[in-house]
Amino acid sequence: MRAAYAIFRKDLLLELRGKEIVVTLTVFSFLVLTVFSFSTVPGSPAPKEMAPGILWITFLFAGILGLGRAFDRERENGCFTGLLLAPCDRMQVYWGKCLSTLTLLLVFQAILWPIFGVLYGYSPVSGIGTAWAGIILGDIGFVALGVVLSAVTIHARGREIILPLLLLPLCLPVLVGGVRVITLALDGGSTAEALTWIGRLAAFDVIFLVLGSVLFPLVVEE
Amino acid sequence: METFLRAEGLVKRYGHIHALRGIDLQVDRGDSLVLLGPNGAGKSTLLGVLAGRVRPTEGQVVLQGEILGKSATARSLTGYLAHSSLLYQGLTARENLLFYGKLFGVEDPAERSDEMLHFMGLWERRDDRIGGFSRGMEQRLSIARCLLHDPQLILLDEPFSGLDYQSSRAFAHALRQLRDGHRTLVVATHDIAAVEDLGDRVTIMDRGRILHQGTVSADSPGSIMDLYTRIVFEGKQSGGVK
Repeated sequence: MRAAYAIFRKDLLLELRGKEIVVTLTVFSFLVLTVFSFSTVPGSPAPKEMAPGILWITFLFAGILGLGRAFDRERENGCFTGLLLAPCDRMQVYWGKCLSTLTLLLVFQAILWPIFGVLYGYSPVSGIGTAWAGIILGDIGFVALGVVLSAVTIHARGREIILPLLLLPLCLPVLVGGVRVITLALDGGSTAEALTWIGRLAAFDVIFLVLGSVLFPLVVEE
Repeated sequence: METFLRAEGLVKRYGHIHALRGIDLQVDRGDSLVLLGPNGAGKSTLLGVLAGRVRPTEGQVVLQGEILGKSATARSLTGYLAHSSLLYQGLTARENLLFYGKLFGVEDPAERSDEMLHFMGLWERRDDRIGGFSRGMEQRLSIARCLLHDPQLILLDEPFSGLDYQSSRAFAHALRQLRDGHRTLVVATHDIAAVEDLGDRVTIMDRGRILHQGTVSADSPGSIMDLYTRIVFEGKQSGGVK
């Protein structure tokens, strides 16, 4: 996994330099959460009931923005070609990109989590373990699909539109599972039910990662 | 001499555009082959296929007995200088080389990166991000990246583009040294003077086909110019037509 680790480190170094992805995603998500929190009648329970859904929709759209930017860096100067020339299994390129994208998503989500708590009236520590299990597993599924589709659309005209059109429908299992786990975690629901959903998310992750590892080397060939 | 690289019946189609139309090519170890041809001749596509970056629609490339595309080992033998630099604007010159060194499994990437930075005259600028580099400096760093893992086969697409006269001569000298050290070179260029500088053999392409293959000693630079004009612009084929 030498090449995967090199790609992971390179992506983190680029982000540490520019802080472009984490800052953009955090600001974007903060605005979305704020707009939603002000879009309902004051005092109504609606924002709280809708909060897990709003949070996951925000994660998905921000994640698409993040994927787009991560692959824009690879498009500049033909760097993606440089990755594909490496004398390694191209699956390693996939794993490297998955790992770095996942890390950047988790960093921005960690910043956003307390803001979400304040805006929607949740304690940032209540049900934190279950909630974050759902977030991490949901992110893994999203990234596993997103990296393959970003590679497919990297040279496509109008890829900003094509990527969400392809990715969002495929992410429905992640969205449903993620929302259910967060709802159960924040409202103190049944642990058994939460574990069932966490298990389902983990199963989706395995399927998406296996599919991604097999498909990525095929879709990146010109 | 041992055949190092063999291309058999290469065809590449993008939709209904034929970029390559049945290319057969054989290059011996330590040979240097210059591909000449106008824009759209298929030179860059052919280099892309030889580098394992582009999958041919038909045919195959055999590099030191291994079919390219199926073998990561074959890719480790190849250094590819593309039109684009393949370098990250947000990283410094040294960081770019370090990254590629690790990606290509270079034994001591730090030492090798420093060696290449000295070799290409970029040592003073090693800690500068390449976003601020001139075209010529970026090209020199790109050459360093291409040679970083000491490849046996060096594929160069317009290597002198963006280089000033001095850098261009220094690089041509370095390439001759590599060739003399039994590295195999395939160079795509518009620059007919480069044939004299580098080539043992010359191949003239147009519209995805090889129109002429010859040796540089037989086709001296003056006659290569005449030959090129006759074949490409006047459409007359040579005795060495493939």
